[in-house]
Amino acid sequence: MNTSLTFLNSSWFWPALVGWLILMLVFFWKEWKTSGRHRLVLKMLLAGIALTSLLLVILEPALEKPAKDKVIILITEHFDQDQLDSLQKKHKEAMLIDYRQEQDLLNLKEASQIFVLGSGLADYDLHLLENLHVDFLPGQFTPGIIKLNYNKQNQTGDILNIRGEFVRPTSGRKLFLEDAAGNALDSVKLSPGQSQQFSLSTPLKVQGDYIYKLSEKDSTGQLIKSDPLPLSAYTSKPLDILIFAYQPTFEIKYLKNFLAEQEHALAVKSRITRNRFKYEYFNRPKKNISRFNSAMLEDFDLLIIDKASLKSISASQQITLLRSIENDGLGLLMLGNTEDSGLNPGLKDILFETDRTSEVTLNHLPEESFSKEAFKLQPKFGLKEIHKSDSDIISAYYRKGKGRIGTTVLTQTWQLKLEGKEEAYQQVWSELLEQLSKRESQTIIWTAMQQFAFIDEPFKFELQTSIKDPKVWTEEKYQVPLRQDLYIPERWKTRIYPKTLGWHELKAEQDSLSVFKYYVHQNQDWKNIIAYQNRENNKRFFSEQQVEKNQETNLAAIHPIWFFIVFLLAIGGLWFEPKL
Amino acid sequence: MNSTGKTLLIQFKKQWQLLLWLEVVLFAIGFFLLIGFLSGNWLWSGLFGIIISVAVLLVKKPWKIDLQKVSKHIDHNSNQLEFSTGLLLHQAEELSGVAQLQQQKISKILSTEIKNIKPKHHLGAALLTAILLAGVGYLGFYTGVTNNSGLKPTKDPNSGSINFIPTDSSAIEVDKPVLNSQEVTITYPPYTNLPKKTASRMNIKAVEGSTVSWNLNFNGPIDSVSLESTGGVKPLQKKGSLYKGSTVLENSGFYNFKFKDSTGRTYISDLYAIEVLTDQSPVIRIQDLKQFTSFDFNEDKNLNLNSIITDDFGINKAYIIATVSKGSGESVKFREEQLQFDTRIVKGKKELRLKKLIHLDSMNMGPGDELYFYVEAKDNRFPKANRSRSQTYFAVIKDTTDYGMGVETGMGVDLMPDYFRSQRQLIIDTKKLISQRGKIPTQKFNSTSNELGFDQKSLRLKYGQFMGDEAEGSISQTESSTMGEDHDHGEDPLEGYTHDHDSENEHNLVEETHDHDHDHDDETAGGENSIENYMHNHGDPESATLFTDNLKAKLRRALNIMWDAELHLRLNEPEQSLPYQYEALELIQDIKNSARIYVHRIGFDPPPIKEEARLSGDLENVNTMRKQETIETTDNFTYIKTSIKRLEILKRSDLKISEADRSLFQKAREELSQQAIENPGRYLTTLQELKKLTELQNIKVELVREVQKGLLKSIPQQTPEPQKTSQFYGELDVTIMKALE
Repeated sequence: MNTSLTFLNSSWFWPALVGWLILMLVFFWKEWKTSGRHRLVLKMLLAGIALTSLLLVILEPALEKPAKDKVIILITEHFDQDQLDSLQKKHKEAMLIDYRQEQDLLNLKEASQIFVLGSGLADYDLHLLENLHVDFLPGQFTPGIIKLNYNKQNQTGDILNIRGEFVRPTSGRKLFLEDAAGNALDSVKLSPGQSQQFSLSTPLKVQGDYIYKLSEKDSTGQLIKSDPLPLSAYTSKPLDILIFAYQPTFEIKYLKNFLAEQEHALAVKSRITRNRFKYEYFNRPKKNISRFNSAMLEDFDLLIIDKASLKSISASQQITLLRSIENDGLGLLMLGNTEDSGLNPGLKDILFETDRTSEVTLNHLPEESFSKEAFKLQPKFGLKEIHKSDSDIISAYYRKGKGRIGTTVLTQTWQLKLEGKEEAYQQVWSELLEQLSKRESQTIIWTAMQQFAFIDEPFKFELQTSIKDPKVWTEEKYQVPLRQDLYIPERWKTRIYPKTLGWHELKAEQDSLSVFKYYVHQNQDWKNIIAYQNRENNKRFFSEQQVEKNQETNLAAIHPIWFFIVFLLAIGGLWFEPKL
Repeated sequence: MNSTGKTLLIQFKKQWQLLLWLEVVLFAIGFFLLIGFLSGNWLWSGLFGIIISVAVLLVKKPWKIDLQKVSKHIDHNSNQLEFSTGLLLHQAEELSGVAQLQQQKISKILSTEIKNIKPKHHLGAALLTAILLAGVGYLGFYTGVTNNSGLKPTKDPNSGSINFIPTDSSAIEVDKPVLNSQEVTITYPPYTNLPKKTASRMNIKAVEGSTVSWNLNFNGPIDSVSLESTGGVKPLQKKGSLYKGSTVLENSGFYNFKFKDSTGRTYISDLYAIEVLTDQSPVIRIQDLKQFTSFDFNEDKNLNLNSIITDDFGINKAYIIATVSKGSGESVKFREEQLQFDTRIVKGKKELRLKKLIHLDSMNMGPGDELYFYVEAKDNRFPKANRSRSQTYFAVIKDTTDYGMGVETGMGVDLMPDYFRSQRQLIIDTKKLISQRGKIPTQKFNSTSNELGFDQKSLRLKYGQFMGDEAEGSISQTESSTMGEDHDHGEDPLEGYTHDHDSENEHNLVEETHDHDHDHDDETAGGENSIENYMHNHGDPESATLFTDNLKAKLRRALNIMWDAELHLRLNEPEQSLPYQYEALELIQDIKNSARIYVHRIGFDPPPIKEEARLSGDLENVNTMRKQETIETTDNFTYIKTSIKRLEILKRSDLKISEADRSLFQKAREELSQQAIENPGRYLTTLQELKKLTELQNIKVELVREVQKGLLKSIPQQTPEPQKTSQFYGELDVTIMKALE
């Protein structure tokens, strides 16, 4: 037994000891004076005992004893009743705290051992368990969606893709994707098993902020569960495209018509004959586009040019073009694959390989066949493919500074249009142009660090901006404090506590156009996903901190009555001694 | 005493009647439940139950049970009553002594016996039937099979009276005028022969040109009633308590009623659809006739035309338009005529089966002439009839004298010598000879025929040369072999003889010519090259036969046919020879056409261009041009899309609709009604709801959701379009891009 004696009032130890010594000396002196050597030793002994008892009453000696185990069982969402029962059997005096009912968690520190049952604590509560001995016993999930991934910000015309995982699906049930008004857009049949990956998609037709729904229904169409999917769709700005054609071709003519009809701004310069050109402007004012200069190119998002035209422009203008690409992010689409000689080396990074086949099907459009030139693109580091046929690269681009330079070996695509395959034509060109075009520069990127925001719970998000000292305001005109990242000064972190349900906006002071929209969910939404995320977080958290079970000892103070009795006896002895 | 016996009988009778009545009731209940469960309409089932009970009553006739019947029944069922219960029906005073004794005895026995006798009834069966029927009905009701069987009257939302909603919801508290009755009368155009139709349903489906009139009868003071439709607002005329209006249907569309009561409040009704059916054109089907028919000159040139014409309201006219073309090239002549069917046409019938036998000969058609014809039908639509026509059919009488296609584009080399054409000449001569039969002496006729036969022979021999038949002897050999073939075909048993005779005869009659011919052949053969007689040079392409195997076979056949032609000429039977000649001519034509050799045409070869002179042309009038254009795309869904967005916001807010919203919804409604014209059923509800949104003061969130749902459904799939994407390009990105380069 390694119990050691300590004093509870150990700070008084020295003064009390000094007092004790003085009293002993005074007593010794007094006894010496009055009765000399007679029974001095006995008296001194009794006095010593009495004083020591007094001293101990003051100092409160305490014995260190191993404390009784204090076990806390914390039950959270999806806990296993069997686990709880067996724990309670083993630890009869364990204290039970129900996390779901928001019970007080402040006395967790006292526990020698904590069992967390179920999916675990929310991220923001985990710090309460820091450096405590915790056993995490995750329970089983109730059937439902535990993983979900989709784009919350979309452009109209985009396909909204929703992917996720459903655990323990019930056979015969279906998962429906419903739009804001409840029209079913896509569905997936659930088949029995441990878990099922699912994917749903729908094109977005209308601009605005909407709450789509993911609903689980049984075979009779009865709604089992429905969770909201907030998403925003916005229409993109039209592109501003510059086209140079060495001679009028059908390809350019049809492309021009297609783009102009889609309300994109176009400026087309096509050579009619030697030194005679035809300038056409669609959906944009006239502008001098006869020569390249940075001011002229600045307006445009994309330059479509055939190599013959590109070769016909002077070296200095080619450099101007390259500068625009590098610095302003202009896109360049080169058509025709004649020789590269006469081009600035910066413009001929894409290499061609001979490939005699003249018909090709693209991997994502297996039904249509496209005619191509007798080349394919050579794979290379940095080359990002846009269209592929098996492993052959048909269209691709590489990045040059902020801009992109790309090309395609597809040719005579206008024939698709004549064949009535309008959709394929539009898709191929849309992909090409969209990938290459200048990106609209964003001053601020808002990133939510959590999938969902809930009422009265912290909602963390980040913003990335080159603005020096960004200021963010809520709709209620409260400023949100931001914390700058230590290593990346462009990154700022913060959290807010939403108070009301529904859509909310955050705005940056420096850029009024940049708006961060988020939807605050009700607490019962997406419970399974939250539980899954909590469980993963908790697992990680508890595996990172390995705290030994602290065998805590308690100091048990010896009751002062005993010292008082000893004191009385000793004093009694002193009183009795002269009577002998 | 007998009175007690009679009482017993009366009791028994009553009991019997009661049981029969019960039976009737059970049957009725059974059917009532069955129909009730299945149809869900208890009124009908009640009616049916009554009918069934009446029917069963008529069968069972419980009122026909009288005491006579009862006594008979009891007598039959008991052997102790000695068939005497009938006595109980009589007064004791009327009976004889023995009878009275018997009456008393029977009366006694009856009181005990009657307990064992049961009246005749099928109560058990009736009960079982009732339970069974009710069970079946309930089962049907429970499983829901009736829901889609059509037995159950589906509730038609339009069948009820017009539902007027006050535009200002505060008006609900005040008494609103009530619509007493409504009526829509559709008068179809007279040609349709459809009767006038009156209905209380306000959705109209009628033939184009129908007149529709509405009668509305209101109870209460009304200021004015108007009819709002896609065409505008039309006030209804007041006639007594009725409000009347009518219009002639031209296009599909929608309408609704709006009325103002005396206090100035307005009410609108639901939106109703007008679906205008256009009168369809007649449908013509022609059976069992090939698009292209060709006849030989000697066939029966008849075409049997069977056609079935159908129309939705009635056919007025049907006829055949036939065009005969004669000649070819520039001299082609057309003659068009209208033919009537052989079958009489009954006007106004919806389906006609018409027949026509076209005699090509009666249409003055000769070989080479072509007939084009089609059937045209008109229906009885007024004022302008629908007209439709069938495909065009062709009939051709083959022209055997036709050369076939000329070759205008290439330079053909005609390998055939001129005398190939003499087969045609022979035919002409033969025809001429036939026409002269009887006019010239027989002697002359026969000799001309024989001469023609000789010509035919010399023609055959010339062709024989092309076949590589070098000498007459060899021809004879081949002939004999072919003759054998002919024998096999059983053509003419005389042939063997005629041949022998023929060669002699030939020598007799035309020896000079023939000899000369023969000699000449020999001479040339001998004179030119003596070795040639001994060699058979196949290697020399000039002397080798120029035809392919197939052609050779064809020519061989032609030669054989010529034999037959010659035979009949020699036998002075030019008529019989003529078909052979025609056949031979046809074959020769074939050979000639296929043996044409086409020589590549020399095209235009431009002189080489001097590079330095290129693009040095005069560009004075060629100017650089500039063009500026703004293309306005007409998005037919702009307001619908904006409305969807606005509704989403409304849904989550206080549902207060502003004036701007109303006009937005109005515009969306206009856009949607454009879509709805093509597909009225699909958008009707949404249009009605949009109307409510624009008119009503207080709206419910369900309405907003329904409208949004409908609008979202109406927007079609977007086509792919390049979009401008956005990107953040920060310091980190710059660093990475630099590092990559």
